[in-house]
Amino acid sequence: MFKIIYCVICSFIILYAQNNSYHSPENIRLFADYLFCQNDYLRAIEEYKRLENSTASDTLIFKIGYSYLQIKQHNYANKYFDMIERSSSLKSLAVNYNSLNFFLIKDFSSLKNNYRLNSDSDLNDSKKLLLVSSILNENIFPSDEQIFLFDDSDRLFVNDLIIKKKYPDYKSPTVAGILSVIPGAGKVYTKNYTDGLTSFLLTGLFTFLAYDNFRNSHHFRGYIFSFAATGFYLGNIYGSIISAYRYNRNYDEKIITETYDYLKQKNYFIKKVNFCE
Amino acid sequence: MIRNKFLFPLVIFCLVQISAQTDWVRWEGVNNYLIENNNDIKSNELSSSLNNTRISNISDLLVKFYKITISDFDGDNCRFHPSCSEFFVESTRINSLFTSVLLFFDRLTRDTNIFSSGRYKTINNRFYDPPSDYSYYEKESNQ
Repeated sequence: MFKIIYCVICSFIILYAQNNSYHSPENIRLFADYLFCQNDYLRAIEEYKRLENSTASDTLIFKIGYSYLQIKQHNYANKYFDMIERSSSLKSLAVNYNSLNFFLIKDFSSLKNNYRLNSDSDLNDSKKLLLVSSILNENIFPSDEQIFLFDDSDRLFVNDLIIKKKYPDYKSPTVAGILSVIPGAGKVYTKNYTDGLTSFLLTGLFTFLAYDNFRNSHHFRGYIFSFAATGFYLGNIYGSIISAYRYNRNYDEKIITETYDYLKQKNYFIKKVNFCE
Repeated sequence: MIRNKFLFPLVIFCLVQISAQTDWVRWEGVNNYLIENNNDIKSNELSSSLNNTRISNISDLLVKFYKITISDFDGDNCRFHPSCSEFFVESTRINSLFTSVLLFFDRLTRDTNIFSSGRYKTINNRFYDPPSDYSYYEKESNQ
């Protein structure tokens, strides 16, 4: 008798357990949301995609796009952000994140198009990104009115960026070349102080050795040292010119790095979405 | 008399070199370990392997001669990657011979400057300083 009761209870437990569908859309969504909130975007995308055909919604599509953006699959992110319908409340947010998508892959013409084609949405955030990218890439500076789109702290940063781009601290390769007539002076001009000093010492040393050998009638050695002195001297002139080009390129790269760092810290002026509260 | 004085050591020197280099592979200077896992470096070095073959053949010969007669005795001392001689060879593949010579002397200046270490990327305790970083001038004037 006890055995029969035991078997019945076991059967009921098994039946009950089997009835609970772990793969129901609701459970998949809950699991996907959990993965999304744990920043496990790749697996979250897989789970969301299982729901795409049955219970697709704008929120779900946005989350897939956002996840793709986080794992730097920019083409897919663009595809999903574009899928959100115009009537959706998430549309302007999707357009803003799509702008960010284009900004990150440095596709500035698409960034402009994205802004132009969706001008009916609330795109202040996109406009800020567009203004910054115009300053960075095209040296097109915003009007005073446009600068007031930014918050106070951001405005300071943008003004600073405009000044750096308008009046860049470049070094002229021509000036560097002319200055390096005095060995090392061109490099000192491009702030390579130790290279300048080394150049001066090497050219001076080999010139002295050449002079000294010629004076003591060691002509062969004199010619060798003359060749070296000439090489170091001309190398110093050419090196100074290249050094000025390098200085300018590093200056530009530094501005770009600083701007991207600042924007990253500010979430690229785009409102943060919080689906996890 | 003078000829005999120099001839004997020269023959000995050549024999030593030939017997030591029977496989004609240098004892040192295999740099693959430096570039295997670094795509930036790999692409830079690939982009530098361009045309200008005639000039680079001459410079290759000169550098090979230098490596066999001097570098192998002196050791693998250059603190840069590519080494100064390789820098020159690579440079001839991108630039003209005259520019390459100027860049080579400029590199020697940087090599002598012991205070410049902070500005280079370090790979296996060597400073990465390829010739492609110093070729803007020609590229920009060609555009």
